[in-house]
Amino acid sequence: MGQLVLERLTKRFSDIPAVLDLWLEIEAGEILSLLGPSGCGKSTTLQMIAGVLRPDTGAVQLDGAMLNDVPPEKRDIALVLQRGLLFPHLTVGENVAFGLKMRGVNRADRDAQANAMLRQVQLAGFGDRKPSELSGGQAQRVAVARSLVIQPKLLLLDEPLSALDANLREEMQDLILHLQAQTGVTMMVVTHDQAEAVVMSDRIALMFDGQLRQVATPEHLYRYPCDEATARFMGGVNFFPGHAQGHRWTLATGETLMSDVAQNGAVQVTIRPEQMRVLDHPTAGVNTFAAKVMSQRFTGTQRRLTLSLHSELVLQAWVNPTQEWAIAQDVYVQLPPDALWCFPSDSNPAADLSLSIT
Amino acid sequence: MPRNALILLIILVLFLPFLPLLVWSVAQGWFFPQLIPQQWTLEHWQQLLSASSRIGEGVMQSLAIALTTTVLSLLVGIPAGRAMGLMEFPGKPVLKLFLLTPIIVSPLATLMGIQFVLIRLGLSGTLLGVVLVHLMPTIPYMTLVLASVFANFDVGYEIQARSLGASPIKVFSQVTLPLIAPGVAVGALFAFLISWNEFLLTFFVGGGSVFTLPMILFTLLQGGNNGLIAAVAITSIVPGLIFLFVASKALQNEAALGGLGSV
Amino acid sequence: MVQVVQPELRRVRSRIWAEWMERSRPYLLLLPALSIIGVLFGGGLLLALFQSLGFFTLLGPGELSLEAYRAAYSNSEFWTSLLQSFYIAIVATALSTVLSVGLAMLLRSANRWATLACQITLPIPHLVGIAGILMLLAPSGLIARVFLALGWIQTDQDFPLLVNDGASIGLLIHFLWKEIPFITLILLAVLRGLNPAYEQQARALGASPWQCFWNVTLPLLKPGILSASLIVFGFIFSSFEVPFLLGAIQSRTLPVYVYRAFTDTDLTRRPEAIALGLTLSAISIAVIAIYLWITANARSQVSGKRNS
Repeated sequence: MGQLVLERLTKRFSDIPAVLDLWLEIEAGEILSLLGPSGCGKSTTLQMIAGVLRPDTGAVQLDGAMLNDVPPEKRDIALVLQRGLLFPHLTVGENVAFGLKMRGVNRADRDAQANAMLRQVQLAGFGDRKPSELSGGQAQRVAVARSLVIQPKLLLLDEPLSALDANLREEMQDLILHLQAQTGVTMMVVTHDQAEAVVMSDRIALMFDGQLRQVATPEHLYRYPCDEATARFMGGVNFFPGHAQGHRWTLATGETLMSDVAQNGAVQVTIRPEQMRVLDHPTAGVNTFAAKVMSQRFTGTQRRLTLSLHSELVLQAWVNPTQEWAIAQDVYVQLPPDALWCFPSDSNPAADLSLSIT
Repeated sequence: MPRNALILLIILVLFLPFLPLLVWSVAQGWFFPQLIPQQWTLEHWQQLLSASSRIGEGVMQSLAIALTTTVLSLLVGIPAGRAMGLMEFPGKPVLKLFLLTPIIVSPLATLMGIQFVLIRLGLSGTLLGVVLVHLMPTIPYMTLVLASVFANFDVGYEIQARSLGASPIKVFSQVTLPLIAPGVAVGALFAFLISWNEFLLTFFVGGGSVFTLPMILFTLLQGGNNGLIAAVAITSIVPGLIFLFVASKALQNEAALGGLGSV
Repeated sequence: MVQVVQPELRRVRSRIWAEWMERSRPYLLLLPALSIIGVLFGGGLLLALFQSLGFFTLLGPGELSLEAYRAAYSNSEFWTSLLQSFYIAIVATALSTVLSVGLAMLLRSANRWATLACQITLPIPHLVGIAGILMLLAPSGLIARVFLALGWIQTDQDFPLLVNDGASIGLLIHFLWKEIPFITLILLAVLRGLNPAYEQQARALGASPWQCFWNVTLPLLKPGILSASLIVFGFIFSSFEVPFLLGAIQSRTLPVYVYRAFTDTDLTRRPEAIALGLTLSAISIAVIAIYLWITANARSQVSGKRNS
């Protein structure tokens, strides 16, 4: 239970479209992230699903039932907002039991359910505290508990972790995923943080300027972005114009690359920086080029190298952090055929769009 | 140190007018040029409490009018404050200014204009008529205070409550109202005080038959019974002092009164 | 076909209705307040206008004429009382505004109790203040007694006339006593809402405390100062009981003069009194208009400066 269908959803604010013609289906029990930069319309979409905003056109359906005219409190959709927003005049226990009270559950039952829920978010015994006595992470856990205790068909999370510290964030991600697995609730996470979306979701719906750009699994989105903007949002850094003839791609700077993917015409080639191999000795193999280290930056988990090829092509390669490199050192860089991806370049929209993935 | 001394001096000057009031209220025949009364007495207070002085009746009338005015302006001011504090809509500045005119523009012309209507409706000289005109200053102040209360209120709480299954009425009674309660209390005290202290409106509409404390004080001030004047004056500042202490925290807080700074 | 179209039509209709409700919501919320103020205040003004123009009198329907205004403005007492009102309102507003800025800066870092004590006069009825000031400043008042006891004066005749006096000293003192705490309260609220980083930044850029106050704090306070002094000006200008009891008999303010005309035993003077009252309101409205013009100018000069 909990299949959500958004059909042609459109919302304009004084004639400027915030969400335009959005189609999206979320399967029951699925975790989907609505990902995009701030102002892309993802929060507006969430508010329309929650029933706080009314769409100009289009439909919101949950399990086949049309929700457009259903008030928020009757939608079976629970919401966790960024700031947690625990009611400050109620205790933690009363906060968790709030939805049950609204449903007319008697006091003993709702106390029991609220306490059970608090145990699940590892806050057993916190029921009598005031929200002001909680840390940010604890408050957010209570907010999740408060939304799950009413057993909604759909749980909407609006930037639920963006106010938390980095290490706390991972803990919360695990907890939310764990609770989701236990309850099987359909979950939609709205976020601007691609790393968070990748970790948390079964599928990601990427949104730019009020419109969906690509809906895919995190891995697919990483490896096969539909255009440069998507690739850049997913962390892509290497983009080069070139010309493709089947599996043989020639860059504008002259290098010829072999790719797993076939394409034809003018293209924009992208190479994932973390898939490159950088060696200090010559090696045989396809797509191997001599290069010079221009700069390096240590990030803890990676060493980020800027390499310059003889053709003055500049590449970013993110490699094993333990190996050290010197500036101006001569190296060899290998671009594995499966690390290459391309999209028809904007200047040539007529290029063959039928990409074949092998 | 000179800073604190200056503050102390200012406080002393502000308290100075209360000094003769306090002395007069318990002095007997405090003739010029005596610095300190020769004799002390409670007769002014006894007179104030005696039934024949009608001052007790004045307190009751003042209370009834101020309480009714407060309740009515709350009922009207909460929705108006919400609109002004939380929403953006065409014409907002003009409507805000219109709502505030009664506290800036003299009510004299208005009072003279509606006097014959109130007489014809049988409202002149009645408590209800007085309450009605007291709404003119209390509604603007109430709206102003509540607008800044709402401007500091996070509607996310309401959205959250709706999604948890609360109907709009439940959201208001269980979430919004408890959260804005401190601000509402300040607004209510403000309205009560304005009505309690109001003279001119009562004077025009009361028609000599509604005797609130300010009416009594005004009449007494045209006579010369300083002892009784002082006793009545001290009685009429009691709610104000209560207000100051109860609302002292809120008066420190920009949320409730910052709105007055941006009329 | 009809069965397909019908629900679609209903949906469109309900959407239009919902949109209309959404858009008119603020107006509906404001409706009770606006209608009470509109009917009482606006309606009262309109009725006053009709009466002043002679549309109807207490004795029955009349005819349109400007006679009431002619009579009102031809009386020299109107002009002297108008002047007196302006004098009191301008002097009292200016003095209390300047002193309030000083007091607010003084109290900015003071403790809660000092601040509270400085607001003591705020909730006190004007009539109580009048009583206190009469008993304090009158020739037989407390201060005269102290002066006599100290030997500074010989009789109450030596004490300067400070209440019901021609220069309206008592009147001004009362208004300062009552309005300084009011403006200070508003300014303190604005000061507390200011981001201290602006002033810290100014100091870090080399401004002396005085330069910082003059170039940073005061401009940031300006909107608060303007609106507080507008309220105070409007209040003092239309105040009745204070000048009635503390002012000089020979120099009345406009509201007192209006009241005298209205309660004149000669009922035919009523339209004239109402015309005077409307003039009083018109002046206050003109002051609001000037205020709006000033703030609009200030806003266009520095937009987005206030963040409240």
